[in-house]
Amino acid sequence: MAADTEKTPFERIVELFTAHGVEFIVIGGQAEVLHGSSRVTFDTDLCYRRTAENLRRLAKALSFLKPTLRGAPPDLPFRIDAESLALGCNFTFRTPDGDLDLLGFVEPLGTFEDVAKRSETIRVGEVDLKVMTLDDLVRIKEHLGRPKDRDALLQLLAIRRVREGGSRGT
Amino acid sequence: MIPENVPPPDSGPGAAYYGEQDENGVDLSLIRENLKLTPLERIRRADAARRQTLKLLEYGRRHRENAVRTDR
Repeated sequence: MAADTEKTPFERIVELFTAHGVEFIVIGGQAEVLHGSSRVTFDTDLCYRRTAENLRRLAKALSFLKPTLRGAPPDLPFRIDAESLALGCNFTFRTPDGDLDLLGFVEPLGTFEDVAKRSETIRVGEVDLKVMTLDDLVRIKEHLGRPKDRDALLQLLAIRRVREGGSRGT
Repeated sequence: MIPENVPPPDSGPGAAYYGEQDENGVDLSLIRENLKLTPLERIRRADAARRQTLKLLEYGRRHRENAVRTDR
């Protein structure tokens, strides 16, 4: 296990966002890991709140990460500010701390407010994180139904079954 | 005395379902292990797996590069 000083890219990103007061929910592969999944995940997926204040905070936090748009030519100009973020919704970034997907809308659940209603709070190191529930992760995978989602879905259903069987865990 | 070639004790169709798997092939022992960890430990274990996977991908990439050079 890594020492406390060796923070993972995920920890660095969520601590940065938390320090800037960004409202977000951990979704995707890292949420699956927090619920007990053994699948390897490479990126960080976060659902963010689309209020003007949160977009300003998000832009400020992102300025420290210096992200580029994934899949776009590296020289394509992209200004990180609240106005630019307001014009888009779901962003796929590349950062020194790995790929970062920021979603303003999560299909089929909806916006931050919709997801937040059912999220749970999990303490990870120094910060309390809002994390998408296991049931919502299952709902998304069932809805999307792509081959890669099926793999994740089977893992999530197995976690649910192990938990219901009385295994220790949060 | 162990023979030179040792066949597996059970090489029938059931041999594919080793360990503690559910009907979909998900290894439940890995999930049980993860559920015993704290959330932070889960994140760090997953990150170690991610780094290990990236390292293996890099070894594979280098191997393929060398193979191409040798072919020239």
